[in-house]
Amino acid sequence: MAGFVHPRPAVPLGIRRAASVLSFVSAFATSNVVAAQDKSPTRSAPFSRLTIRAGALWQTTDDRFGRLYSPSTGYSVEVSMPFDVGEFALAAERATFTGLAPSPHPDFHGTVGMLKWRVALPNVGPLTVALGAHAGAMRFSFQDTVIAPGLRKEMELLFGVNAVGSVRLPANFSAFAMGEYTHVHLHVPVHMMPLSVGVGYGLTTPGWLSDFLR
Amino acid sequence: MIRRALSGHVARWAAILSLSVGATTRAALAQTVVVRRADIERAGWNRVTEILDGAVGWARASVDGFTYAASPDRLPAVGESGPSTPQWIVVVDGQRVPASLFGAQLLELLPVSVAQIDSVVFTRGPVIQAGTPVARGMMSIYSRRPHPGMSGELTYQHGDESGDPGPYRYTDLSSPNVEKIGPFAHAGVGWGGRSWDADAGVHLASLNVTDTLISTRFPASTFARVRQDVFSVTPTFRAGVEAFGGRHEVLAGYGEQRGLLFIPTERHEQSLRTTSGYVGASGSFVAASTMFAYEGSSSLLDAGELASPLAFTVGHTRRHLGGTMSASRAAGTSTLTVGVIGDRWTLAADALSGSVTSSGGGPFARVVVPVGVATIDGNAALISDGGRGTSLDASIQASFRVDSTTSIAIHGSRVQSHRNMDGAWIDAFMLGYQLPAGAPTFSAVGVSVARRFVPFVAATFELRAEHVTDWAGLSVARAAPFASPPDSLTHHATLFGVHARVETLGQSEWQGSLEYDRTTASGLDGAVFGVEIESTPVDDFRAQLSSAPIRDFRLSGILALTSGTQWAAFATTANAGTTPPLRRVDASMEKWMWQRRLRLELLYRNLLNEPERTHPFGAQWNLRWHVSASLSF
Repeated sequence: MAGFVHPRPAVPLGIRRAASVLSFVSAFATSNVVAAQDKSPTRSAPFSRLTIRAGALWQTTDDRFGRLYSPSTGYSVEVSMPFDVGEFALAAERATFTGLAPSPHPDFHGTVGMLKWRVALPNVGPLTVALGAHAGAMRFSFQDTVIAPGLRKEMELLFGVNAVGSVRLPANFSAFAMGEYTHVHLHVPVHMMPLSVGVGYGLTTPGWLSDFLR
Repeated sequence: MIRRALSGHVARWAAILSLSVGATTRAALAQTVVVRRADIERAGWNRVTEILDGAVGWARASVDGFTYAASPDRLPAVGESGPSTPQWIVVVDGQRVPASLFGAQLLELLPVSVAQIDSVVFTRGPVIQAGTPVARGMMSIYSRRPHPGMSGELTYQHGDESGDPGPYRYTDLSSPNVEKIGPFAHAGVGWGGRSWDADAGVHLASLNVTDTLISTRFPASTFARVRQDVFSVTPTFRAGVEAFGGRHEVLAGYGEQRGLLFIPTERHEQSLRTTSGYVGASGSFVAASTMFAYEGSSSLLDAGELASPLAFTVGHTRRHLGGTMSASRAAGTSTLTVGVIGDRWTLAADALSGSVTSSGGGPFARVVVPVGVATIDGNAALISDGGRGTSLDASIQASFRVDSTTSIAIHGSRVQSHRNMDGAWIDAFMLGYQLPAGAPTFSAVGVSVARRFVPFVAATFELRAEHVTDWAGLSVARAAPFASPPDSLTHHATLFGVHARVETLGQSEWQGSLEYDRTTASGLDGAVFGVEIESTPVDDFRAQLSSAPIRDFRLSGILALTSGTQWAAFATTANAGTTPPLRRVDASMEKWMWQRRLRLELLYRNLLNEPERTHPFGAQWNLRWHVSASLSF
């Protein structure tokens, strides 16, 4: 791979798409301000509310990895709930990574599972921003029929930091944009910066579930 | 430092000086390390073997990370020492459970799972425990009783080690794949009645052995045809009943371990299917103002071949039948106990047309006498070790209670290895070594002081010295095992140590402990022993701190520091024969749910990603994570 330089746009295409979607959502939300600040995670009782988020996922990677693979648009899902301090979330992300020319390596599906913890910053109008850290694992599912089946999947530890901004929409819906910086602890580490944009839905945690979590 | 000369028929002296300022007012006879249930949970240990991590001062070594050997007293590690050197013993609820095979302890085959354990007490040094002379130390496991009514528990843990090649596997930056860790699991169900209880369970564990430091010692085509993990499964059963003024227990288990097992003396692995069976009973009752106690067990350990291209030379079955009986009677404020102990070993090996047996045992006595503010506790056992003669093992401890927070104890002990009684001869027999005529003798005296400073913090400080004679080294080539005269390979040594511990007590929000052990050797009879003893670390340190800032939520951190070691017998052109100093930081997060029926734990080990290896031929462990769930009802 020495000497090969993958042509990259000044601003990654995924990021530009995400920015466009985010600006649209923000504009829509601003016209639908709901006085729901008291439902921010830090002000709710532990486990009292569930927020389910789903969105499209774009990501950039470090240059070394970016010369080998290009991530396609993926998706992300997350379920979060307030804790005694901040909020916890379980999240999953998945995208396909395509080997790049001139000698493309086998593609793989990258699936990330994470446990996140965040604390919310003071609200700014309808906008809620929370910052935190996450840990989890990334599963590499190689589309390689040559190697032994037992070697087609690997799982690796990851750590990172994340931030989410959300604005409330009518009927318990919200729009969000979430950015992360993730260090995947491979022998040669990989750094990924996913950005996901989508819609969230908040609901009161069912009694049986909140009882279970306590 | 106090040294006291001891006289005996070997005319050796020994000393242990212990100065303890500790949490309890009961000073230990020999150095003890206590691991409690909370320690097990905080550390995320889901195999009995992992609890050895908490035995600060015990030199732990493992090739695969699954099966460990340990040197409680800093004498040379298994492999550096000769085969059939005396080993520490394992006691489960008062019953001795043989678990040693070629110096390694098969703790996953014990008739108890980690989920059933209430506490573990590590004791090192020569002691007489319930009539049994113990030369080097013991691991005493105490199990939890089932709750009243029906109860059950399910635990599951899985983990993974960082450092995989990932997508770089297709490039020149590729690296070997590294380990998955687990699963480690346990399932059990129990019933607790008014006067009886019983539980049955099964625990299993699996760990990959594909680390390159292991696999590259084999031809690639050979390693591809051996089992890539070590796997064990062990069903267990236990029942207890209160009757006749005492408690009576039955303990049973049948375990199987499959995979590579490193044979230290051979310095390579063999592919084994090892099975273990155990059934034992113990208890006590009162009759005619006398308390009678008994313990008896029958067990077997079978090393069979697991299909592989590797040579298989250690096939055998070793059976053990042993027991003790004693009677205790009060005489005024004193208590006198007399009893008898006996053990019988039978070896059936592929190379034998029949079987070989050995036996040993004899009477023992114990007297506990209060004298003013002191209590004298004396033990003696007159052991006939098969055809090797009779010897007297003895220990004595005097405990003084200075005030409500402080106590002092002085102790001395002398225990000789009884290879016919403890079955240690079997390893040498199977590996084709002739044993030296002498038997290692361990002697010690000591003083300890225990003190609690404030209601919730206590500290311990201890100094000790120990002398060993006739220790067999392993400094000759395999082709000339213990050539005549065999005694030319025996050694003498004196070990001096310091042990310190600070710990919190009670149920405060913050819990923690600091523990440090340092053992140095002197008086070595020549350079050979001085080289061999470098296979065990001089310094061992462990600190843990945990906090439960929120109800049903706990954060813990552990720091472990251990000095590096040198294994001269394992140094080759491809291997320096060393282990690096250990600098390990662990962190865990626990959350209880469903009214504390369910406990989830996320655990990171070796956060600094420093080299972690306990054997020069062993796997090296990187940063790794574990997730575990434990459901109890």
